[in-house]
Amino acid sequence: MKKTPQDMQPAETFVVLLMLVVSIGVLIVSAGIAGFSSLSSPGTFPIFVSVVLIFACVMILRENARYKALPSYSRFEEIRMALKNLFSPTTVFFILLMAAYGYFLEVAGFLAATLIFLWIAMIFLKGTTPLHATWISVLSVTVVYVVFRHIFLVLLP
Amino acid sequence: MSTYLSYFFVSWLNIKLLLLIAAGTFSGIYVGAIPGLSVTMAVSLLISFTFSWEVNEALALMVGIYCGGVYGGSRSAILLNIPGAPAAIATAFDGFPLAKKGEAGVAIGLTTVISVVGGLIGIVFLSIGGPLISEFSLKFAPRDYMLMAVMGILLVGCLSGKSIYKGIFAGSLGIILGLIGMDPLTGQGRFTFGSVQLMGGIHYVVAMIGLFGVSEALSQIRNAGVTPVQQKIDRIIPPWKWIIEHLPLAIKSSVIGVFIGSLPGTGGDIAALLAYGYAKRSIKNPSVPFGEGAYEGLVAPESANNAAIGGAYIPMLTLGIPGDAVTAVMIGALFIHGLKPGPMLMIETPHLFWFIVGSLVLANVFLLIFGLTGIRIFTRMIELPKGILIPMIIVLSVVGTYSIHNNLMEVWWMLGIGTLGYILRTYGFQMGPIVLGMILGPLLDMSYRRAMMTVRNQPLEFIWDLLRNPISLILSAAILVMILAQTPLPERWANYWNSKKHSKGMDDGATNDDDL
Repeated sequence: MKKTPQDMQPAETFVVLLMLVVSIGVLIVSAGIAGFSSLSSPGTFPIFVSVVLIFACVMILRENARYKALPSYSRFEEIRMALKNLFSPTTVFFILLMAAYGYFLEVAGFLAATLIFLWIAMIFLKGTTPLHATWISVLSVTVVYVVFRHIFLVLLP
Repeated sequence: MSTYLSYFFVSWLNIKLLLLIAAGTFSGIYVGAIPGLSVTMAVSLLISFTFSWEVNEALALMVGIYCGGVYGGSRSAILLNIPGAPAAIATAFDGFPLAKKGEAGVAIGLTTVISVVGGLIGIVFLSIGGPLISEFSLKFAPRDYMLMAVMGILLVGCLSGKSIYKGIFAGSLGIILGLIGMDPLTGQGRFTFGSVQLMGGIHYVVAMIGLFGVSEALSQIRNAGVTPVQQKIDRIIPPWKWIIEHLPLAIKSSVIGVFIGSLPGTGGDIAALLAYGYAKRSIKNPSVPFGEGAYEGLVAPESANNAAIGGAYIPMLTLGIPGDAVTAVMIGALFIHGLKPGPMLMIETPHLFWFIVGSLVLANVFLLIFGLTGIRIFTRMIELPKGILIPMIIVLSVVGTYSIHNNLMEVWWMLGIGTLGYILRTYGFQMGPIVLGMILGPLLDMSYRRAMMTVRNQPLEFIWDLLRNPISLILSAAILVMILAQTPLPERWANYWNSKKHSKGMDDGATNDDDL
């Protein structure tokens, strides 16, 4: 399967550049593990892998540079496009909701946190009406609790 | 022989295992059919729930889910024109036009029978090919395993996406994630940034759940509001004559499926597309043109993707190299249960190989039963809105992650890795190579360092070892060819040869003209 210009995402170059920076960071950390003491030291293999990471990023950039059919944008415009492509308001809200769920798992416990998370998420993602969301959430939490706690015998947060 | 038969029938004679395979197959059909849920996601979650179980019980459930899931994808492809799994993409080409004509019931019925035929052919190949390949792979040295692991990661990278470099990046990222924690040889911390929590490393099941659960859910948010079209179901059992008529195509497509499935890194999706292409080329007079509801267009991909299951198990069980993403996750499950897939698996635990073969056959029997019943209730279930499904995926991912070590910190890592996976997925990076890298990375590191220590850190001696051993040489050459195949070199060579041939033809033509 060959790549076509249509396969490129908005601001892909910017995102790959970001990955290149992270890969260079990984190389620096790898070099700091045991330096270049020997070819079988704990740091040698990570150094090799991080060089491969950098190589892959460079090759992706080279590959993408061939598709000049796409208009070029300023770096600021690329950042804006990347953020818009990745994080629509719905996605951002859902990620924040997941984070809040993770926090309330510690504070309120599994049952209460899950019930509230499911109810808000179902309404927010337009899965169903608030009334339906209430009984679906209660039913789901009950099923999850019975199946996982009593059948699979796993501990719940 | 009788010993192998007794291993084969373990799951058939134990009521608990029998029920687990039935439950796995049944739920697998739904998991595969509901767009947004994937077999890989389900198996990743199951590992965390079942790792305290007996290995046979855990495997029975996973084998059922795998078989049911690959088949289940075809249902939503036929009924909704949305393939429930990548392996069912080709099924939608002719399946949905058939449903629009009101023939959804028979289409599902025929698909069920043909899927079982394909599945059984795949298992026959597995039971013959598995022991043969396993015996051969006993000749492998540690450096050959290192090369096989590199080949596996490269193949997954090359074939699962559109850019090999994105595949290489994903595989390498997985290796780095897999190396986080204490070095097993020296006890030194790697990529821990002084954190005691990270000294134990990131469990690959935590990453798997994040990558296949959370990242998939976030990707699904993009089309959460799409409502499916309801279909009418009448007749389900296909006429016997039809099955006989399509059997030759099913057998040929199954052979394609087994071969593609057995290549490390390639699974049912590629097998189904290739089989569909084969059917289109080889059948001159289909019932109706391909793409407009030809039954041949259903038979070819469905027999191939189910046959690929048996094929995918061959490299996984004999070499420890996964055939596709699901078998990559299954390798993780075997490791958790203290088993090491590879050539020694057939020697140390032959019962496990034959148990899997027996369970696969049983799963296909259940597939036939469940596939031909309850379709009307099924159509209601798969119309479940994504707005309900996505939050449920997150809850299951949290429960699955927490159950591994009862550690909430791992839940945060899972959510973080899932979000990172979502970013990577959006930009065309595959999740399969990351998981494979995480599983094979630490093994790769150990085999490399051990091989280096045996040659007293002399790189030339290491290279000489690769060159003088035939197996290492072949594997190194294969890796080199795989890398070169992705560069512009082959295209340049082909152009050079074509132009040379063309100019030679012109010269010959000119000579002939002169003769005349």
